[in-house]
Amino acid sequence: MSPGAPAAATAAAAATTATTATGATGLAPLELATLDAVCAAAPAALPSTDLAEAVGVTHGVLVDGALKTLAAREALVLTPVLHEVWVLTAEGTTYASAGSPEAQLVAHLATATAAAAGGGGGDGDGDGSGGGCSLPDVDAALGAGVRKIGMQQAMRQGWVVMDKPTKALRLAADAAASPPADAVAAALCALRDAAADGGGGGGAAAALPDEGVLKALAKRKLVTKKATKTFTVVGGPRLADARRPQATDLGRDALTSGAWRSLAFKPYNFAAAGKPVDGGHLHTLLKVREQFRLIFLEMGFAEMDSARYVESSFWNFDALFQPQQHPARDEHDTFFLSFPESSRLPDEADYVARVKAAHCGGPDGAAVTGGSRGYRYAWSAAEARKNILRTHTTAVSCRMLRRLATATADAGGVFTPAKMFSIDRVFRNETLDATHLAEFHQIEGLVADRGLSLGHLKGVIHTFFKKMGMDRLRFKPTHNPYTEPSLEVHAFHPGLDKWVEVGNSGMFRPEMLLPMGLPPDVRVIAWGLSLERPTMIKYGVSNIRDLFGHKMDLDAIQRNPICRITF
Amino acid sequence: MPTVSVARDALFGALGRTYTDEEFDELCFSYGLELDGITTEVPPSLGSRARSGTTTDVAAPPPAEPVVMYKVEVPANRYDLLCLEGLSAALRVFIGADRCAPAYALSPDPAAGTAPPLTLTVSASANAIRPYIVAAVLRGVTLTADRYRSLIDTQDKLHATLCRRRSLVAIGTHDADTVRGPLRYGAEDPAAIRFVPLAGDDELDGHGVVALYERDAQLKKYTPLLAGAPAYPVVRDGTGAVLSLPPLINGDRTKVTLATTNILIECTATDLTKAGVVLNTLVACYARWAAVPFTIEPVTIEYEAFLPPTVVVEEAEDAASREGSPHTVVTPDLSQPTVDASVAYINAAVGVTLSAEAIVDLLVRMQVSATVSSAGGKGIVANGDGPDDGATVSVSVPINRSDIIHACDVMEDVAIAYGFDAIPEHPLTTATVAPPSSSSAAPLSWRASSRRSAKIATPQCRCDCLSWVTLCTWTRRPRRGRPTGGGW
Repeated sequence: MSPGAPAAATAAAAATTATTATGATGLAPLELATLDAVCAAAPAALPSTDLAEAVGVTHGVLVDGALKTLAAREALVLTPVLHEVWVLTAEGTTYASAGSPEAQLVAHLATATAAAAGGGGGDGDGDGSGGGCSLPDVDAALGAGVRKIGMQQAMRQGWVVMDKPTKALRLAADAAASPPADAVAAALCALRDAAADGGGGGGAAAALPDEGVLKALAKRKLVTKKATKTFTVVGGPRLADARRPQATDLGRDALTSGAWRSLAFKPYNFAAAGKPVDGGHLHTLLKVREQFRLIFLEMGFAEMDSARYVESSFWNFDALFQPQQHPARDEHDTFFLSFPESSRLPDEADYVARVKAAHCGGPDGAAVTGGSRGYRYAWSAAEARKNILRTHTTAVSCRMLRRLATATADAGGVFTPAKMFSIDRVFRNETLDATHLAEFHQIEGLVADRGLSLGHLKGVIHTFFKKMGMDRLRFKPTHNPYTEPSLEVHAFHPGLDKWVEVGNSGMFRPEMLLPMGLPPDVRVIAWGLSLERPTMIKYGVSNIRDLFGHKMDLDAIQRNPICRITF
Repeated sequence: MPTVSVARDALFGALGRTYTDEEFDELCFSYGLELDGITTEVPPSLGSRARSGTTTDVAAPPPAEPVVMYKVEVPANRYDLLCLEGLSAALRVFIGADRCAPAYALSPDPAAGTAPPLTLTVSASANAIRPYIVAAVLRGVTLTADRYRSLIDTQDKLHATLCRRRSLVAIGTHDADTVRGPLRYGAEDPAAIRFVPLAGDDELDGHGVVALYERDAQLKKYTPLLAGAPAYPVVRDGTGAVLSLPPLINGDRTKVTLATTNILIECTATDLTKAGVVLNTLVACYARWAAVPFTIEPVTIEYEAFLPPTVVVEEAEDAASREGSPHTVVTPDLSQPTVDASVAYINAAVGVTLSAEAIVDLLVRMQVSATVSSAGGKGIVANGDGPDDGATVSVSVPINRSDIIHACDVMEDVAIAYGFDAIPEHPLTTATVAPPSSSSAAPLSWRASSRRSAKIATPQCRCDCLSWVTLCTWTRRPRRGRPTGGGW
């Protein structure tokens, strides 16, 4: 951007006047020399190759050291000219000096034959007609690579034949009589010499091989086309201003003195790439999480404090009326803590007693649960005290509902309805695969109010999913240990053209709510879904490990677009 | 959720009509099942286990043809749907092919004063390891290869789910004709238990059996239930012959074969309620095969020292000193407990306005028979919804529907039969006052997200946000915000 661009150190002649020239105009000696050359040639256009020759630098130095900055000052106008030149590949370069593999093979066979003929008339290898060389011998002399290609090409040309039974190579009669010319090496040499003469690609036309030959060489990957770019240079609209300092600012002095009238302003460069916006990037999961939070907040839900990864079995299972023999409470499904192994039960002993009664059933259980028969087993306080990594955020909901019940009692039985949500991490002892980790995020919303029905549950779920563009929903009966009824939420996915399961929902069992002390006509409806699944669908992530943990794709985090949940 | 695999044509035969795959999928959806997959399979051969009976040798069946199988996912509370018999019975009633669930009866009926022919004595020694046992006999059964397979599969399914990998309940089925009463159940010194295990060749003692199955891919998961115990539970018949070594393996001598006509089912348990549920589920599915369909021959269980099941050992003053008392029961218990639900509650919770009669009709479709009483819902709360006109629906819980324990379960069945998709949607009218916007989010969540926003937005910080696993090895833990051992 700065006018004092790196000067061409190779422009030795100009360098002697460097200090004075730069001081006056902000231009480097090479740039001044270039301007002189262009002005001298005006109004004719100059090819940049000629210009490079005129100022005595290589083409590349001219372009980087003078043409680009002068063009930016609109002192010059550059019209790009594209040239395609054939150049030798590394392999081609080798053959240009050593001869093509087929020629090398022919030469080797010729000397070998001569040596055999001269050296005593065929003692060992003269058993066939005219002997020949075995493949290993040729490999030893020429290298296996050269031998293979040479054999292929030479046999195609009919220069060399192979003795089927002995697999020995020998020269064909014609080639033995008069050694064939190495056209390939000749063409390669011609091309190499032409390139060496041509320098910047300009002129000096040695006899170049014709296009057909070049194409054949290209097929053998001995030559390749290389694109080069030169320019046609003419004076630009501000050629006259080029030697004057370029003003980049319009200050007070310039305005009051009227100097602005004669100043040469540096033109704006609207094509320049912007400065990269500096800043960090939000994790993909969190972007989606934020959208879900906004949806809940828009619907008037308050976020529950869910900062509690370790939970007691009591709040995670027992208080939810999930029996102690339930398979989910197995160590196959749940992580148990070894230290501290257990925690105290809640201080409200009467609440714990009611939970126990609800599990055990009998008249005591029926009395606190509105007539439930209970699970009729021996409820163990020790089992309820066991610490686990919470298996669902419903453990949090459970604590909040108990708090709601306590608040109702404190308010003299006046119940205040509640709408709450949480989005946080839960843990399951799952078999890990591309879509399952042992931990994931659960999104959960609940409403506690008097007189709620399944109709309300369907209504609130519909509102929730509509905000993500899911309009067509169906509900399938299912089973959750602590909700009854339980409804699986299915939505129609227009992209996939089918119904997909999007969440789970239900009405908490009275055996959970009544022991808490909530009024009998208060019902609690709730629904939940995972955060990972919509995120993976939204951002096209097929392996959850790319999203989460130490193999996370950092690049994707930096480049993923902002999130707007649509379906 | 457990999955049951049934032959499509056998299922449609039992339902008395055919469906396209889409139609059947739709039916499953509305009942709360899921058609999980459709495959074409050759039914597995029964193996020598079923064929070489102790008394009669049955010829090997001809090679089976491949059949279309439906894999149906069953909700985890409906164990009665885990076999073709139970599934088709439930769906027949749901689609209206049958009007009611079958009535099960005991024969001989102890209520009529006839004692069951078979008696099972439970020694106090069982209390130390597996205190409970229940049993029943199905008489005059005709087994076919399909029925045999169903019987075995259902036991496996129940063991894996309701029985919690046999730790709660273990099922044993036997050919009742090979068994002499009275039976005895107790815990004995493993060295004294000698028998040929099912499909085994040699007689082994208790230690030998456990050692044998510790190497068995299928059974090794159950050996820890016994290994190390000073005494193993064992069921013997009147002659002292071993029927089973629960929860591991039955004896070969009493195994059920295709020639078996009288089937003895015994379930040993650490949880008596679950044992009753398992036994009832099995007889509800298979009593239809009996010579007199839906009749079951009961078994008298005489406990020397019965432990009341709802006392927690840890709370007893001294666990070891817990003493039971003599106790006699007849199993299976086919009593149908009553669960009441007020009409007002059902309507309010579902969000519909149905008459008591309409509710009873809907319940019939769920295999639940109910009566209307206007005596007022005593015992069961109406949950205070609206004026309670006193109409109450009294459900007598079928023996295969142990999941119905509260009025809410009745309400659920009404909702399913009514159709979840038919329930009208109500807008949520719950008015709540949202806390101030900065605190409506939980404090920690709010602090974290504010801090995160600042770190990301401030150019000097330029932090990229990661999402880290909580469960990782100590060496992989993130240190000073920089993960180690990872991909960068």
